[in-house]
Amino acid sequence: MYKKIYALTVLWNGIWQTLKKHTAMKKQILPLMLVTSLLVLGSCSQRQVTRINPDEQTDLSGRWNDTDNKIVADDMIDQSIDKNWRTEFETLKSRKAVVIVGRIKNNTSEHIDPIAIVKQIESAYVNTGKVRVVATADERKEVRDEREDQQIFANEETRKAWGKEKGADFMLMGVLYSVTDQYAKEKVVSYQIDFELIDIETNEKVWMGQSKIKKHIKN
Amino acid sequence: MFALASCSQIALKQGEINASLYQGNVQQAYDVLNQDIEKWKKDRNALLYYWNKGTLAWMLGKYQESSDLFLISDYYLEDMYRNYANTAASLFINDKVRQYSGEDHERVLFHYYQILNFMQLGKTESAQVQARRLMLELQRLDDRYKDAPKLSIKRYQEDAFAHLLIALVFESAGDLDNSYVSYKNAYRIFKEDYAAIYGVQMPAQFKQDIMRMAWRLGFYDDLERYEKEFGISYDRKQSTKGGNTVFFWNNGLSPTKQEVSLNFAVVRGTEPGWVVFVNTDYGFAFPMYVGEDKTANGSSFSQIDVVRATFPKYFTRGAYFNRAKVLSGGQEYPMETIEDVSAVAIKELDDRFHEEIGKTLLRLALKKAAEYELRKNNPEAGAALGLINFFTEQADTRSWESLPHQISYTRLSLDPGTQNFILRTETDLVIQDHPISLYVPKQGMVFGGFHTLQPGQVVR
Repeated sequence: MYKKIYALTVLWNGIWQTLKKHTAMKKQILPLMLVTSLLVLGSCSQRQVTRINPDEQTDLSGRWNDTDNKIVADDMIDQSIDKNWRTEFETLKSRKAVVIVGRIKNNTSEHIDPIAIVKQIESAYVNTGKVRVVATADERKEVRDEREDQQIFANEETRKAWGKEKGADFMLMGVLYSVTDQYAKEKVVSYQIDFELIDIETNEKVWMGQSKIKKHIKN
Repeated sequence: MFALASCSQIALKQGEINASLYQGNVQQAYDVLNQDIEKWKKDRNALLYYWNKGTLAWMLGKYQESSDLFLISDYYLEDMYRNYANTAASLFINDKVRQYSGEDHERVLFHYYQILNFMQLGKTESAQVQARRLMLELQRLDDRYKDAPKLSIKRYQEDAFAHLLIALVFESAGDLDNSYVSYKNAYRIFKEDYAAIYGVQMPAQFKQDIMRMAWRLGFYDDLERYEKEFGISYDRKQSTKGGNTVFFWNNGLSPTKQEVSLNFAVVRGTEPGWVVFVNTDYGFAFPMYVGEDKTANGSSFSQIDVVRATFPKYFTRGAYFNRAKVLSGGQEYPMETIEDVSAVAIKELDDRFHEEIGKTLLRLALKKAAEYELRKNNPEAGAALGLINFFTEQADTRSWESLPHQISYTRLSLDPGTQNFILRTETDLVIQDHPISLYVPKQGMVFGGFHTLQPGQVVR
């Protein structure tokens, strides 16, 4: 960048000196010089990288991002964790409830990775220390492959037995919707994510809640 | 001059790609785009790079790569901001120095490739997301021309093919209500616009699909209305499920933009500050305000001059084959045209012709004013600027040139698993068979497609 500015300064100074005699010409050449300078300077940019706090809210494009994942996950936990379903379960079974995070369906007009939302919710659940979280279907498959492998190759003392997996009591499912209202260079996107916690044994929906995010994006 | 140099570079590459495509050698065209990738990406024509490479990757069956490229282009378009330096430069130099943002139909059609990619990769949820993104694009398209001056024939403002595509994606996902809404939109546009403006008739397959959907959802009044209008009686005993395989045929190549020029006489207007650009051959007279001091006696536009104005114009490349059908299980399924890309492109540019002229003449007026002012004090420098102006006066001839000339489709039922069938393309003299292999899922639908350029093309 600095090199370009220097080169431009030298070049324009040379031309300016020549034009000094013709004052009328200056008026015409000036805008042209300005435009050319903008073009040259605009064509380059020095990349700058700064480390920032991962918890900091960042919004560049206006699209769904990690901040939104965190907001909905935290909001969901806040709404649901201290509700009747958990206290009743603990009184009845005298243990913590086991939860599995199921599918989060993407019904929006944005390509959003549902795995990122699932992970954020799992970590929020685990961090409360009030429920236990078990592996998702894909993860279980991988763990079982490992366990199978251990049966042949691992030392007997460290070998893990079959049939000891913790079965989940509740499954959390969600659907993410969005409504976009746009005109010219402005856009308002309203996201809504509906969560349902389902008792795996009885299919009863023990808790339902929703989280909303609204964004106004100007280009 | 800087603008000139970089433009010709792109034109050169586009020429190479086109030459390969003319020979039907997709791989070779793809290889051209694989060179200097970093340069392309930073270019103001980056969008064309993503679109062209995405199309060629799709033609080569590299669906994941194609999908990645179209996704970048999607975000690129969404994030495109007005670059003031570019806009100012386009006023002084030419439109080519602007960041390319695509023609309306191009911004609609890249969703078509992306939906095909997702469906072919089995990512049905992503295909639905893309269908919703396409709906937003169609809204933007309609909004853009809501306040524009009305033309005697409607602009390219709505796209029946895009609505049909959305309907098919939702149908595949089992979202029948939304699917029917899109079918009805497509029906209205086919009826109102497509036959009259682009010469594309409502496909027989489409008529069956919309009637089936009305029947399935219990809209019996609608069904009767369609039956009466189409003159077909719908077989109410047939399965309510349509074919699970939709096959698209991309035929030939879209038109290319080329530069045409018109000469205008610049005449001083009757009001101070105004000049009129006149072309008697076409009966054009465009008044343009250039500033009062510039039209005063003895200055700038006081003398009559002739200027050359350049404009982009589409030239059709057409297609080698003129009809096709799918042969499967001893049956024939004819391909029916659903989008005449060439006709849409040409219409779009024609509708904008007056805007293009206005823009070009304003630029010429600015250039001429600068030249005259300079000439008064320094004739040599003025002449030099005149020469630069002459060379930099170029039409913006950029377009997505790997799009097809026309898109056709058919729908059939295939058993789950990997299925093989034939796409037969024909002219009156030549018949060519293309073997197609598609994986058909147990549930939902599969979309496939094939692009034909020339007989004996190299695609796989």
